[in-house]
Amino acid sequence: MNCAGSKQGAFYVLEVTGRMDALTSQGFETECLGRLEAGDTRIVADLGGLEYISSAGLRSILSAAKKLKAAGGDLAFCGLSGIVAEVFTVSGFAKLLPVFATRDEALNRS
Amino acid sequence: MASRRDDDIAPSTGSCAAGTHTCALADALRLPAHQESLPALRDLALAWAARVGLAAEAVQRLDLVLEEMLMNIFHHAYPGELGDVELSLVSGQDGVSGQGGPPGQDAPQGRLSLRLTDWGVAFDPLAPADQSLGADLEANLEAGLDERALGGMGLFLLRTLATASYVRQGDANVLTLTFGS
Repeated sequence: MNCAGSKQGAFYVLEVTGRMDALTSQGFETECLGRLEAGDTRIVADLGGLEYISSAGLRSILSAAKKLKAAGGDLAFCGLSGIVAEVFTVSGFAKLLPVFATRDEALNRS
Repeated sequence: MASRRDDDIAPSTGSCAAGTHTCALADALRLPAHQESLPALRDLALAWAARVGLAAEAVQRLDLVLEEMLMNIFHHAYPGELGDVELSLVSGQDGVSGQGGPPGQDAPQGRLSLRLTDWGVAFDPLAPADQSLGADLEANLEAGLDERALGGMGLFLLRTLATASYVRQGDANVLTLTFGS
């Protein structure tokens, strides 16, 4: 798993690529908490380049989302496809967290 | 495994890639039940999947469910000690294609059954959630962000994304998983 980030308006966009599995996914929460410490509370994770996610990845996402929410921010997602979209749907994460089809939609919400 | 078809013989310089019928794959692998064993077990399962021509979506489900069940065994099967886990191919319906059928009927079957065995604490991953663990998975799905528990998702994904059966055989937990149509 790799995370590349950039500030885009009010949001910090994280492009997540590769695999969020038991061996790698803790890095996602670490990345989000690093942004939180730097003052970014609104994060959009673009999962367009993510090939795979397991429950370890969901755990990392949920933990990060709880902490961002507690800080008054949020964690949104865009670009889901394939098994990643399927896992978000069956796990209820697609209802639990803000999910947008495209990055533009995630960035241009009121 | 010997090739049955003349046009199926790999060049001598060819790699022993998954999906070729000329490459003998192990049909079982037993390793210590810890995280370092995950890549080797995964590679073997994916090689079996390639050999039977499992569809891409089913391969992704296999990848996911295998990780979930292995992590579960690694973390919970052997409290305070190190035991083994074995991944094995289920024969008979496993679609080791190209064996025994007449020519023209050795197309990949697109179906894979495999078995995970451990010799640890008895545990049925398909049993209803244990309320004492606070792992009411279905209720958790409807919980809000603040209430949602962090754990329990691996077993839920198993029940949702795989066709599975469990049996306690002597001192072993045996989980059979089937993917593909």
